[in-house]
Amino acid sequence: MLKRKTHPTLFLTGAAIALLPLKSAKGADSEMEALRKQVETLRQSVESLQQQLNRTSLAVPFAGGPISGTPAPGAAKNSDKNSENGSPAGAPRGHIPSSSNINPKISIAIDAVGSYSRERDNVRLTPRAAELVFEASVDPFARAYLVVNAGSELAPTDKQNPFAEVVLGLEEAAIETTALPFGLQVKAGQFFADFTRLGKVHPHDLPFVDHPPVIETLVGGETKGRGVELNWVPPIGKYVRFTLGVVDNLGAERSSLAGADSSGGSTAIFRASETRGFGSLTYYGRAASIFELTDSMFLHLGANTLRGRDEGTRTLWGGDAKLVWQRPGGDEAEVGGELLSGRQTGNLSYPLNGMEETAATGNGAYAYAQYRIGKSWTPGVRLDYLRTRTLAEADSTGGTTPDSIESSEETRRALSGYLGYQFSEYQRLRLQFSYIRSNTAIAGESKHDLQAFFQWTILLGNHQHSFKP
Amino acid sequence: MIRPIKHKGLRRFSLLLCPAFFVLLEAGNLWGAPLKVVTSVPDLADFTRRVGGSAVEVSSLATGKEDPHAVPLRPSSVIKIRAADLFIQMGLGMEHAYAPALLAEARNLKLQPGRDGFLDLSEGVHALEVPVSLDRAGGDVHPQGNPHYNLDPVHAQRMVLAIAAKLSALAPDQAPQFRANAEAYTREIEEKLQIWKSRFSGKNVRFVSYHRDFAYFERRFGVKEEGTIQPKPGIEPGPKHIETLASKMQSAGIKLIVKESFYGDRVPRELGLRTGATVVSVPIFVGATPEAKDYVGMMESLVSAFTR
Repeated sequence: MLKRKTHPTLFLTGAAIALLPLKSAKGADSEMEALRKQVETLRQSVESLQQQLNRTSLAVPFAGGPISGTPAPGAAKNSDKNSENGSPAGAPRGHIPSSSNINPKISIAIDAVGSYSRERDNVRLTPRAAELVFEASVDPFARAYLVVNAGSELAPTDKQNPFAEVVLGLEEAAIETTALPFGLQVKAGQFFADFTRLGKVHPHDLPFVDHPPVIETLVGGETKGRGVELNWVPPIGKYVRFTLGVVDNLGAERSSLAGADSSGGSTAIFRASETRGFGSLTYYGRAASIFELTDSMFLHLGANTLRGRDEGTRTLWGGDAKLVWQRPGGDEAEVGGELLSGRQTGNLSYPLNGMEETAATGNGAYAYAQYRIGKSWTPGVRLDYLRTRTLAEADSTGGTTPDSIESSEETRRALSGYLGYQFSEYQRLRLQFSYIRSNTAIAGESKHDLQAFFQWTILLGNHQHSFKP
Repeated sequence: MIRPIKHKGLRRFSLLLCPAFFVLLEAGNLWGAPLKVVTSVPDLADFTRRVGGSAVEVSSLATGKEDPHAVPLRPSSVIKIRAADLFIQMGLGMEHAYAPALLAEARNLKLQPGRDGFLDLSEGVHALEVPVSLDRAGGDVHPQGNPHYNLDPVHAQRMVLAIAAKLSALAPDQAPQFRANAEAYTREIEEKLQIWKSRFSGKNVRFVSYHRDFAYFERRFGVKEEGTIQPKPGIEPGPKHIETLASKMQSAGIKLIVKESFYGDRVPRELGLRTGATVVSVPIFVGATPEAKDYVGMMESLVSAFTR
């Protein structure tokens, strides 16, 4: 407590020390003396104020603490509260860090989602995510974080196996630098790569219940990758952020263009390289910026591209935009969207039907608009469009052993409406209805489906806002 | 097309030019260039401006108009922090929603916590209302205690002096000026404080506020908060809570509802109509209202609202 009390004087002592060599070097002793006196006066002023604070008990939370001899009547509430809780009188609090503070910060997110597909008459009740996050500074030069997640896929049309265990997996484990010069930062390990606007967002943090189909299909879910990422915020007068990364593969799952099949599993359609040379890694880049149109209106713009050569050659490019308007302490409107186009070419695993080399392609977009009324309600709508030409294994004899490749084309459109209710910063309910229409069967035999989602998300522990362009 | 320099001496000279350019640039920065200071809230910007005068260039991340829990993460803030020599915050979790994220993205190594360019003014503050148990069942609690100590003018004076000390350490040549400015400003606040206190004398001011923002103000001026519109910090009120609060206000004869300027006025207005209490919208940061253009202006307007 004593140490804390004298703290302001430390600044002044520091100032005095800083002044000493500077002036003595010039040999101006009298000047130094004058400065010393001035700093001393300043120190005395701080001390006198500190004493004034102590007298009025503002600086002392405890009656009878070592600093305050006679607490003012106003201190009663605090000291009463304290004695009720049995804290030792006179013990310092507030700023004394507990030894456990050196442990990594821990936070938990639980995302419970129920879904219903009308065409399949199928209900699924799942903990989509139970996410455990640990994070801490390693030393003055780096920080690290670990995200472990136990969850199951959001697949409204598939019947849930009630005996299937929810699988625990490593979502992210990364080290990132904090002390590189020129605005550089390097991250390594397994992480959600800075690619696309919503692909890197954990599902419980999305503005809606599900990842838009274009991200799900062309990226393969979240932008999970194992590798290294360099990002740079150049020291110029405008905010721009550039990212370059190299990972073994980008996407939580194999993308549909590379050969996802309808049963939720995935089989490589393109022949993979036998070893992974530098040429068969996935390289990606993103440039993003935020423009302040007015004091309360922000335009986010981003563009990204990717090239990988493992199972054939994969290319993806896209752009995104988001416009946010915030009223101080009140409503918030947000309009956003993203375009993504992808292509996968290479030698096929089953070189039949005269198709020795061919390509799977996909183009799509989503756009959404939402309005948060006050602090609690957020209604919104989302439009999705996705057009793909994918390749799949087939059995030309009509049996179950695949011996050939077939291509199929699909155009899918969806309209979703959602309504979120925020109890507090740490708890949210969300209801979403999505109408999906396709030119091929998407829910059993049906080419359209109405799906309903109910989401209940909570956050426990440390929760820090992050700046994500 | 640029042709390579073939002359050896010329090549050496051009190689020397690059570092010389940066040295000159740096020298320009040291020689008389103002210290660039970024503060989290405008109150601290006001203090720094008054202490530093023309020797500092000050800007604030928050404008004072926002709920401190919802200050927008502006790209221009990243640029400001990037170029700054000093970052000043109130601490105690006041800036948790924006300062850590902006500091991390700005990557200014001088301004990271623990470095010379980072000043947390809560050092030395013995916070009020430090929760004994940390559980969010109590709402969005501040683990380090109530952070609104800027509403106590004595704390304001302490902050002014601490800022003067920090600026003196960063620019020792200007220390006498900083001291003189700080003393003049603390004297001004002290004189005002005596006047403000006298305006409360003999008055038994009891009030209801939206959020628990006035703990330090209460202690300094002897006023008493009898309840908050938010049932718990960060939790919006339901009808049942308003019902209970209204009957409490009526039975205790509380006639003043103080609404912090950034909160919506629907609930306070309804509560006012039900209880006959006057609703006043007040600034709790500099910049929140036109009257609160500086610290003295903000306190003046706050004191007027409580003593009307």
